Amino acid sequence: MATETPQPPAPNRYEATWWRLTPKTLALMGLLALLGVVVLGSTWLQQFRQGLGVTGMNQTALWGLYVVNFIFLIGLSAGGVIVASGVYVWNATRFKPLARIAEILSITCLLMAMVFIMLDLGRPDRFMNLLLYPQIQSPLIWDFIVITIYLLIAGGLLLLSARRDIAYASQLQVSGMDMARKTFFNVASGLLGKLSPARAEKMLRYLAMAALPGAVLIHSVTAWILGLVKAHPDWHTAILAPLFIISALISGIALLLVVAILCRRFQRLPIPDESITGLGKILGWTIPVAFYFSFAELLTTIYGQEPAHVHTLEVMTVGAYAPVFWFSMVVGLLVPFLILIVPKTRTVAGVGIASTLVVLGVFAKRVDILLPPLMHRFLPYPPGVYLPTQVEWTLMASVWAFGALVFLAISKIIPLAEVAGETK
Amino acid sequence: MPKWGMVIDLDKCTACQACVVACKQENNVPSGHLDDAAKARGEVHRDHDIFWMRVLTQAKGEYPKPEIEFLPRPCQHCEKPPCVSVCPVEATYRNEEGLVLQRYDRCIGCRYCMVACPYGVRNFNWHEPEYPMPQALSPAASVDSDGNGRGPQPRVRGIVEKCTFCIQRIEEAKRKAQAEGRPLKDGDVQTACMQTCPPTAIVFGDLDDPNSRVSKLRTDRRAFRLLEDLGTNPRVTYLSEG
Repeated sequence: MATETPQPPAPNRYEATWWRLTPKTLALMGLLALLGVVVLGSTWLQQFRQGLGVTGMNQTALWGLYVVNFIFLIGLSAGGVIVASGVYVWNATRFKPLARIAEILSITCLLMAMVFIMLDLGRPDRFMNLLLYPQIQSPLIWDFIVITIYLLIAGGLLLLSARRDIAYASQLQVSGMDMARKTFFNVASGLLGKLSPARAEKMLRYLAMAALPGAVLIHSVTAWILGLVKAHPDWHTAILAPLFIISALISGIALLLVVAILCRRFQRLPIPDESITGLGKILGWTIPVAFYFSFAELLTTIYGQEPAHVHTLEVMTVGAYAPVFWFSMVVGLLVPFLILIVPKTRTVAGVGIASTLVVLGVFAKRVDILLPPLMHRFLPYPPGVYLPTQVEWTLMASVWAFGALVFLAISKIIPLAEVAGETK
Repeated sequence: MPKWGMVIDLDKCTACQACVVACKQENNVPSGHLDDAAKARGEVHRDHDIFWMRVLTQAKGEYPKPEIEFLPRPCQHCEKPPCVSVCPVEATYRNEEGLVLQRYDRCIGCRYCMVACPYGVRNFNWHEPEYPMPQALSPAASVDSDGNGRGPQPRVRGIVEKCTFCIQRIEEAKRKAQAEGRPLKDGDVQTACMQTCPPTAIVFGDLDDPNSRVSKLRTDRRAFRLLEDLGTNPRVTYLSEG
């Protein structure tokens, strides 16, 4: 067990190369850091100094692109963890090669979501007030609590499931690894090594069991930030949280598939085709559930003919937001559904295309859920418009660059696939 | 303990906007931002202007008998305010006299209260507020239990502000009554909008006093409240022959 020294793996395989910082990787990380740290920081500072008036948000469109991204990313994070914990709870070995990516993705998405919510605050300098004067009745505080707990669960899940790889990395006498990471591996494997394998396995299972309802809860609470508000009738429906969960599940699985396919291609990650097409099939058969929820919502609105609901529905389906709505329904759901259920098109490339469309489609769905209902007002105010400004697009792009950087950095500390092999 | 309330007679209102101006002066409500004015002339108009009191207009009817309706809209000071429970940091609260107030120094600017308010009475400082003539700022002051300024206290960018039913005038009237050794009587407190209204369409007073003018007007057969179905129980009542 611990006494036998591991054999160095064959060169050029992922097991041997995953930790290497090649000039290409370093250049990519540098570029991402420029955008995701320098541009993000300076643009944010500019926005803070000049006020949120530099965005396209206004008295009617009180929330915009930042909150759309926040909701979207919480969903992606929840979807990823549902897959990962499914692997541990039900022992779905077919998808085990994808679990690690799912765990790292979910942590990355959570961090990005937190940055987006900070971007949306008028006084980010008063963020500490959330800890000093929390008001427990506010769904925003519920979200704050749930996100914190969830981040801890996701972190624990990642460390526990990667414990063998960390121990392996600390035992491997690799020359050329930097001191920082060597120290991390020694400390982490020392701490994780105190757990007996049986105990660690048990803890992993319990954490995975907690992560599953946690993922449902975190996205439900995010839905309730909108759904408990009666000022905007199209949010104020009981189906909002279930609708959020199903969108979270399909977008999370889709993002996982896109990232897995990219990593397989560019990092020689050993993921078998069946894992990808198998999960693609599950994704395909989850899409009808999303259709069903949307249909239940639309039918209730159309049959009821309540003015506020109907007005919002018009804005959504034939008004200013019609392109977004039809994109999310046709390109984002229907087309990927067809690609994924037909066995002939369910190849790795097909799954890649379909998953990309699903991710984009769910993003459009988030725009549709947030903005048209938000911009409905009961009293006769002049109609509002929302057009994101360059500041918002720049910040959005830079937070995504920041996310890519975080993912890449974690993947150089914790491998994206099990490299230690099955030693039991 | 008084229960402050307001009655607005829409049959008297001429939409002269005097209440809007008086409110802006009394409460140091910042004027519009030059950037926004430029944007309004040029490209897309982004509504960044702040109004604690605003007159809304709605066209009704068809040619040849078109009509326009006016609705002066202060904060409704709901008895069950949806804005208060959603605030994550208790920056907004309802005091014991039923006023819904804002703590400028605590607000983190998430705008959740504005999203939750069905009446759209809350305002965000999208820019650093500009007070072109600082010497002309209203000196009226009000301080909360933590010693922080509220009401007319000049604001900073990135926070939410709203109508307070002129809390500084309520406090001033109480001080005066105490100095004279008498209880508050009806008419002691006049909000800025009420004081300036030429056709006296706005009446403010104590709803706990059955003989006050607001209490009597509130039971008028023309009385209604905005969006009553939402169960917010506004303390502002409107009168209209409708």
